[in-house]
Formats: sequence, C-alpha cells, structure tokens
Amino acid sequence: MRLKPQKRKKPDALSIGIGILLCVYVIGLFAPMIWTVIISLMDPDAYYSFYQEGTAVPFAFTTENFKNAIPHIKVTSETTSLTYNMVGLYINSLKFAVFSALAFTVCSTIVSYLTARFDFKFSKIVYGFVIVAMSLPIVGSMPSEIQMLQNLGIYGQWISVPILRFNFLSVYFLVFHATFRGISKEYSEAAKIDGASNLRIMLRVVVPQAMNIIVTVFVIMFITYWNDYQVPMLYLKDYPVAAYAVYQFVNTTRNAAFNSSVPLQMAGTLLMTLPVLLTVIIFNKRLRVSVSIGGIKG
Amino acid sequence: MKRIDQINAPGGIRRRHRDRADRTFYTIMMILPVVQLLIFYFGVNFQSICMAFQKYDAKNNVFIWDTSKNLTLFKIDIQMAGFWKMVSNSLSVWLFTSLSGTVLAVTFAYYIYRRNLMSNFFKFVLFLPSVLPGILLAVMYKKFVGLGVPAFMNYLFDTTVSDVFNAGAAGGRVNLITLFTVWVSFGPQVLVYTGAMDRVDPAMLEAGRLDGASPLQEFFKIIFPNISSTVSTFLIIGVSSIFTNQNNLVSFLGFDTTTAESTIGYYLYKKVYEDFQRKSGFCYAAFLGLICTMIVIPLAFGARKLFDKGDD
Repeated sequence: MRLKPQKRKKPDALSIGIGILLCVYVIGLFAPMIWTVIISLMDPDAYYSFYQEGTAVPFAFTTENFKNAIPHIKVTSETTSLTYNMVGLYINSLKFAVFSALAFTVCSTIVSYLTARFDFKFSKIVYGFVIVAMSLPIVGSMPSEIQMLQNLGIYGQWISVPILRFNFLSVYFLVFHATFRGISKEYSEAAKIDGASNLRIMLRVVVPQAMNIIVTVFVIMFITYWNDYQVPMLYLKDYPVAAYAVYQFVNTTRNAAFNSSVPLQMAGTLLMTLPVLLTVIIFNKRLRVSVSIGGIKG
Repeated sequence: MKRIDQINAPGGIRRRHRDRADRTFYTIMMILPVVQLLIFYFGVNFQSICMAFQKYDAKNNVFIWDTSKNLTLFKIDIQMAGFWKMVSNSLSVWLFTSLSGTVLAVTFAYYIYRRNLMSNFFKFVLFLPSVLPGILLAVMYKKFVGLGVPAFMNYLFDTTVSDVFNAGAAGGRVNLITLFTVWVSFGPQVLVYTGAMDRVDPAMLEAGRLDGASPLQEFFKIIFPNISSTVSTFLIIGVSSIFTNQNNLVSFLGFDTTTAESTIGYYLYKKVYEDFQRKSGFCYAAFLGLICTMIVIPLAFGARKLFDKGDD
C-alpha cells in the first residue's frame, strides 16, 4: 500500500516560497488568456482608442468579432489556388488529426500486442529496437522523408501523413506493451480452448481490456496533430489546416483586413482552436493520466 | 513427415497446428508495421545519409553524387559568425530550458507531493500548456506582451513602449520567446516527478521526520536521491533535442528572423521550407543534419553513462 505524505498543518517557509512562485506561474499563464478573451469581445474601435491613444474606454463587450471573423478565416492553397473557408479548414484538420492519430494508435497497439503476447525472438528484437531508436537522436531527415514520399508518388496527398504516422517508435509503445503484458494470459488460453482465432482473441478478449489506455493515447495524439501546423505546412500544402490558418493570419500579411484588427484576430484564433479546447475540457481527466504515464505531450 | 512421438503425444498435432497458426497470425499482423519501418525509418535515414553526399540537378530533376559540394558549403557556413551564433543559441536554449525547466518542475512537484494549499489546482494548471494548442498559447503570449502590456503602460503610466516582437524592435524578443518555451514546456514533467515522489518509501520519510529533518533536508536527502533516475531520464531526452529545438520561433516570428535569433533546428526547418521548390537546400540540410547527429549521438550516450554512474 502506498502511503501519502502527512499533510502538514502549518505551512513552512519552503512551502510558502514555492507557493508564491506557483502563483506567479498561474498569473503568467492566465493573464494572456484572460486578455485574449477580453480583447476578442471588445469593440475594435474601443480597442483602438485604448491601445493607440491610451484613453479610458467603457468595456462594451460584443460578440460581433466572432461573427465578423468567420468570413476572414480562409486560406488559399499555393499550388491549386483553392480557397478553404472555416468549415473547409475544420474538415482538413479533422481528416488530418483523426487519421494520423488512428494510424499511430492502431500501429502501436498491434505491434505492442504482438511483442507482449507472443514470446518469439522477433518480439525481443522489436522491443530492443524501439528502446535504441527512441534514444537515438536523428537530425535533419525531413528532406529525405519528403523525397521518399515523392518517390512513392504520394507526396502532397492527405493520406501521406497518416502513412508516415503508422509507426510504433514512441514511448506509447512501451506503455501499451506494459499494459498487454499485465493482462493475464488465462483469458486468451480459455478463448483458445473454446476455438477462438488469434484475431478474435486480440480484438474481443485482450484489446477491450486495454481500451481505456488506447482511447486516451488516441485522444492525446488527436490533440497533438490538430495543433500541428508545421507538418501540414511542408507535407500538405494543398490541404491547409486550422492551426495553419492561425499561424498565417498572425505571421503573414496576406489577409491585411483581418490582421489590422487585433480583436478580430483574437476572436478568429479562439474560433479555430475551439474544437481542441472542447476536447481538452471533455477529456481533461483522461489526458492528465496520459501525461503522467507518457511523461510527454506526444 | 510427422514423427511418431509427435503424433502420439497428447495434443501434439494440435499444438503444432496452434504454433503454426500463431506464427501465421504474427507474421500477417507484423507485415505492415515492419514495411512502414523499413521504408520510413531505415529507408529514409539511409537516403538522408546518401543525400548528404549528393547535390540536386534541377535540369534533370535528379540527385547526383558530389562529395565536395556540401562540405564546401559547410566550410563557408562555419566561417560566418552567424552560424556559430545559431549553434550557441541552440546550446543556450537547451541549457536554459533543461536546467530551469528541471529545477522548476522538481520544486513544483515537491509542493504538490506534499499536498500543500491548492496543490490539485496547481496540478491542473501546470498540465494545461501541454494540451492547449501551442500556436494559441504563442499568439496569446505574443499579443499580450507585444500589444497588451504596452497598452496598459500607456494607459496607466503614460509611457510609450513599442511592440517588442516587431521586426524593427531592438533585441530581446528572442529571450522572451525562450522564456515562453520554458514557461509552457515543463508542466508534464511536474506530473511525472510527483508520481515518482509518491513512490518514495514512507518509512524513510517517517524516520527522517522523527530525526527532526527540516523540509529542505527531507527534499535534498530523501526525495531528490529517490527521483534522480527520473530526472536524469528527462535530461538525457533533452540532450537529443539540442539541434532539433526550434525554440517556438516559427510560431512567434514565422520566417522573419535574423541568424542571431535562430537555432540550428529552426534553420534546418526554414531551409527545407524555403528551398522546397528548388530542392537546392535539401542535400545541404541532410549534410548538416548528419553532422549534428554525429555530434549529438555521443553526447546522448555520454550523458546516459554519466547519469548511470551517478545513480550507482
């Protein structure tokens, strides 16, 4: 039994000191968030006079910025000249994030299941290889990856990234491996005696027992891929995603009307990240467990 | 031909049949992941090594062998002060984020571990940056520091402060970005360290308290030695990111930076992005990546050995 440390009734100087530091951290994190929400609800003219002229303004809140931001949220593909509006960007993000997360989770689940449940020599080789590959820092393989996708004729197609993500070289392989090892082999043996095939045992007996952790990893990978704009920027130039739209209207001047208004920009930023914010709120507890076991964002 | 003892052994044929079924299932299920690994890990890395010694022939759209071109470009690069500034930026970002991030994470984890005031709330807040969109956090921080703070300064103190993130603004923006990198990166570590602290034997803590150990002594003499292997794991992982860390420069500044602000990770990404159509920079990026890998591999393994010795 794991005993928790005794709760001290009187906080000592060390706790007070760390507590103050933590409060500074919280203020530092929440101040920009609160500011963003306030600005996104602020009348653009009122914001202008507050920012530019330093004059006090009545904080008349309006939801107009969100309505006005929607038509401005659009990205034009450089090669096909197709323009994606907010819905189009959401669909691209959804496709990219769901299929990438699915590919990663399915591949990691299959390989970790096989290596954990079948004591073949190859299983040990795979397990050892994952450990080595994870600690082997490889820099600058991106050009070669792009070239490989071009050689295979799939570069630029949205399916190319899920294919890239169909791998198991991550810490989650180890998490799944430990989970599958921990599930008693008696269940599989009993199913085998009853005549169940290996596939049925995997899908109906063992995987359902690990479903909790598999779904958690899927959700955290979904969030990671939804937030990623650098990979789509290089690999999916014709399929701009929502995160890329945020990057574009903050770092480029392509959408001048939009960029000139900070309240509009802040409202647009919040709109484009809304799905992932909702996911974080819904799966809050599940994600915290995942971060604890994985130790990294993914 | 089946051996007599196998046929006669109870369940012998059935077991053989089962073994074969296991192997068939194992092989079929392994095929796709292994093929992916062969192409996109071994194939890509092998091709990357080849590209390091090639150049791009735009006329015929092929890569041709040239062992000297990238070396010459590298020799030119290393003679420029900007290149060494990028190397030093990469090292200082890594040192700063690793050290300050680790110190903050361990300190905050200890506060949460001791179930001090609002520790559950702090646990939640520290975890937030790891799941919120990085680009959203970057935008909020950039606009708040660049526009919000000057607006408040103007309003409250009638002082004019310019947007520090503007291209024309005097230096300092890269330091603010590095601070942001630390600010949002160590949260997950706090949760892992808290978990590691929870596994410390309570009997040791009790003995320490009976001997009159102060909280500081308890931390340095009992808690820290027990979580040192977890801390060292994070530090080793950190070593491997020296030359891949972009320090959030793309999120904050796009590609509008100077070499004095860049890191090698950012430089490599920028090179591939900007030279994408011409592919002229692909081979040199692969060459530079190979050099960086050759530097980082011994560093990562050296760090592991060092920490392993420390643990012994």
